[in-house]
This record gives sequence, C-alpha cells and structure tokens, in this order.
Amino acid sequence: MISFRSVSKTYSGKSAVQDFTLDFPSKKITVLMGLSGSGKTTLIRMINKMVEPSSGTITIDGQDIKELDSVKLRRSIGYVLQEVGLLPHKSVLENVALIARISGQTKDEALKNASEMLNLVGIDASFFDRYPSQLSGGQQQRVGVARALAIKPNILLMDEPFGAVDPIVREELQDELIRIQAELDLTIVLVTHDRYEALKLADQLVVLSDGAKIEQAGSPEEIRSNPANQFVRKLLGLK
Amino acid sequence: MNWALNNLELVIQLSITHLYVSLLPLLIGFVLAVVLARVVPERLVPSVTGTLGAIYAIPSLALFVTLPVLIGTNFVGPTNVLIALSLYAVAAMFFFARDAFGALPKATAEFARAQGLSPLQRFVYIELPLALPGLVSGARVTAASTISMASIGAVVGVRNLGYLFLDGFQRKIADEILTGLFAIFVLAIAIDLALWLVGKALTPWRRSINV
Repeated sequence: MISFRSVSKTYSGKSAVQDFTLDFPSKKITVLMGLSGSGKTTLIRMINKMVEPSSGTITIDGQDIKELDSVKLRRSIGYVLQEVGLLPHKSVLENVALIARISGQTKDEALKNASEMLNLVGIDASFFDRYPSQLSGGQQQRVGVARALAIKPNILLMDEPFGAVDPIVREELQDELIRIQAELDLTIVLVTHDRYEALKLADQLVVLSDGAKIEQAGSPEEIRSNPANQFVRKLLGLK
Repeated sequence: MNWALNNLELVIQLSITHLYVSLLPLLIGFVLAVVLARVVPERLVPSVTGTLGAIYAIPSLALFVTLPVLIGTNFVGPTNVLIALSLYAVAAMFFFARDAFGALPKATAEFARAQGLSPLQRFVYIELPLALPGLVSGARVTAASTISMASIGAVVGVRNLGYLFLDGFQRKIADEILTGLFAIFVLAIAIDLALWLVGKALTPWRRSINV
C-alpha cells in the first residue's frame, strides 16, 4: 500500500499539492483524475521521488520513502508516460532488455524476460528487431508498458499513458491493462483527464480539483451513483 | 605537378606531421568539450561560453607565440601548437556538444531518470549515443578548421604542410605553394569523409527512420 499523509508541494510560492492524504491500496488500480494543473502529475511523480514533497510523508508498505535511495526506489517501480520515451537508437527488444539489465538482471534473464513481457503486451516477435520509429503510436506504448514491467515491479505508475493514441487503440490498451493488472497483481496508479478511462479502469477513483484537493474518492460505482458535488458531476459528465 | 612528384617524399612526410598536429588536438578537444558540456552546471554556462568564445577569437599565430610565455614551454616545437589547437578545438566543439546534448528527446531523458538509471548510465546508454549525430557534425567542422589552422604552426617551426607555403613564398616557387594547398585540401576531405563514415557506422538506427 502507498500512503500519503498531509503531503504538500509548493513550487516557488505556488502550491501544486496541498495537504493531500490518501491510501493507494495494493494490487488495485487507483486513478487520479482532474483537469490540467490539478497537481495529479506532481502526485504520481512524488511516489518515485522524481518530486520531493515540501512537507508530509509518503510510505510504501509502511516504509518512509524519504529514507530510500531514489535510484533503487525507481528501479523497483515501473514508469509509463504519455510520450513513451523509447530509446530511438535501440531495437524494440533492446529497449525492454536494457531496462531489465540495469535493474540487475543478467543478460540472458533480461532478454528472456523482455520477450516474455513483449508477448504479454501483444507485441509479436517479428517486431523485436525494429526500431521504435518503425512502430505505430499504439505499438510504441505497448513496448513502453512491457519495458516498465521488465523490471518486475509491484507498483506501476502511469502518467496519461494512453492520451496520445487513437480511441480504438486506446480501448484495446485499456482492456489489456486490466488483464495484465490481474495477471501480475500490480498496484497501479494512473493519471488521466479522460472520464471514460477513469471510470473504466479504476478500482479506486480519486477526483481532484486545483491543488490536488480531493473532491471525492471511492469506487466508480459509488461516485457515479452518489457524486459528492457539482464539480464531480461536471468532470465525470453525470447528471 | 612536376614539383609535387619530385618532392613526393617530403610532401608525404609533411602530411604525416600535419595529420598528427591536427588529429591529436581534435581528439583532445572533442573529449574535453563533451565532458565540459555534461559537467558544467547551467549557471556557469554563460561564463564558460564567454571564455571559450574569447579564446577562439585570439589569432592563432598570436596564441602560438604567447603560450611559451604563459606556460613556459619551448618557443619552437610542436607542443605550443598542439596546446593552442586543442584550445581552439575545445572552444569550437563545446558549442556543438551543448547543442547536441540539448536536443535529446525530453521524454526519453525523463523516462531514464524515472526508471532509475544513474547519471553515468544515462550518459553511456542514452545521452552519448543520441547526441552522436550532432557531435559528429561538430567534429567535422572542427576538423576542417583545425587542419587549416595547423599550417600556421609552420611559422613557429612545426614542419607540416604549412612549410610548403613558407618555403614556396620565400623561394618564389608557385608550384610548391599549390602543392601545399592541394595536400591540405586532400587531408581535409579525407578526414571529413572518415568522420562521416564513423558517424554513419555508429548511428545505424538513423537509416531506419521514416521507413
């Protein structure tokens, strides 16, 4: 479980996150949903110490992450971002294997693991030798997910992962994420501003307004049947 | 043409020296510039670029003859020329290196940090290979200017192809001067071609872009 307790973050006087307290249950998908500027990306980046909180504590399974080495911590948490950021000079297989290798696996392990993960996300072996520029946007993001999984993480952080792909591919990728999450028992924190994606993927849905203020948190069913306020209704398109 | 053929041995000897006093500074300049471009903190960049720009503006002959005064080396001999040309090479390459590293894809850099690559791993696996095309372009420009500037070293006693200019001028042999010019031209083209090939060989992924 990932726990935030009274976490705040201020950037040169402006507060991006204000007194944020929430638990992200293990082996569930928590979706952070809000408009741009709501601080949702700042929240996700605090989990792997890309951003240091100004105050408050974050724990993973009871351990304060402030006491953990950031490089080690990041190697144990998968990270997927919208622009994917594959290495353009490495083949598909090398892209995934390199990350596995850096996280401490042997070369053989890394290659084996990389091809397994690529299969898991639906990338055929005939694509392994291609360069990222030769793949479609959807395929690139599949490789991005495989790469994040290759380090065998318990936690997967996803920052608007499917924002740049077309709606049909997006739905496919969402379905596969649900399948993969169940198969690997992952704790996923996903950021989106897409209400359909949020309602579809979330076990726990967290609706945020400016300053990462929690307007409502709960299962999609709870929120849909009992939206807390006008903001939640509007953001989720509920009557 | 006759002059060149009659003095072929001399021309080859001078070419070898010329290559040595150009390529060594180029290599030193390249490595230093790449390292500087990665380690100089952002707030010091303006003063470093200012200093290097100023060094680059010093006329080469002036630098060749002041270096011995400044650092106590011999007035005659290749050391001053090597040091001076290395300084010019760093100065020129630094700007190319800054640009090459500055143009890295943001998402790739962000991912590498987020997934726990150490700064050294990021440099070796990501930044250096991706900056290579820009670094090679820079090296090609720097190589051309270093090869041509090296000939001025002949004035301070380094017997390279520049010697053919001095000697030809003093003895009024036009063919000798032309031979020197041609030989430097050939060297510059050869090095440029070699660097271009090295760049090609090191960046196989670029051929596949937009396939």
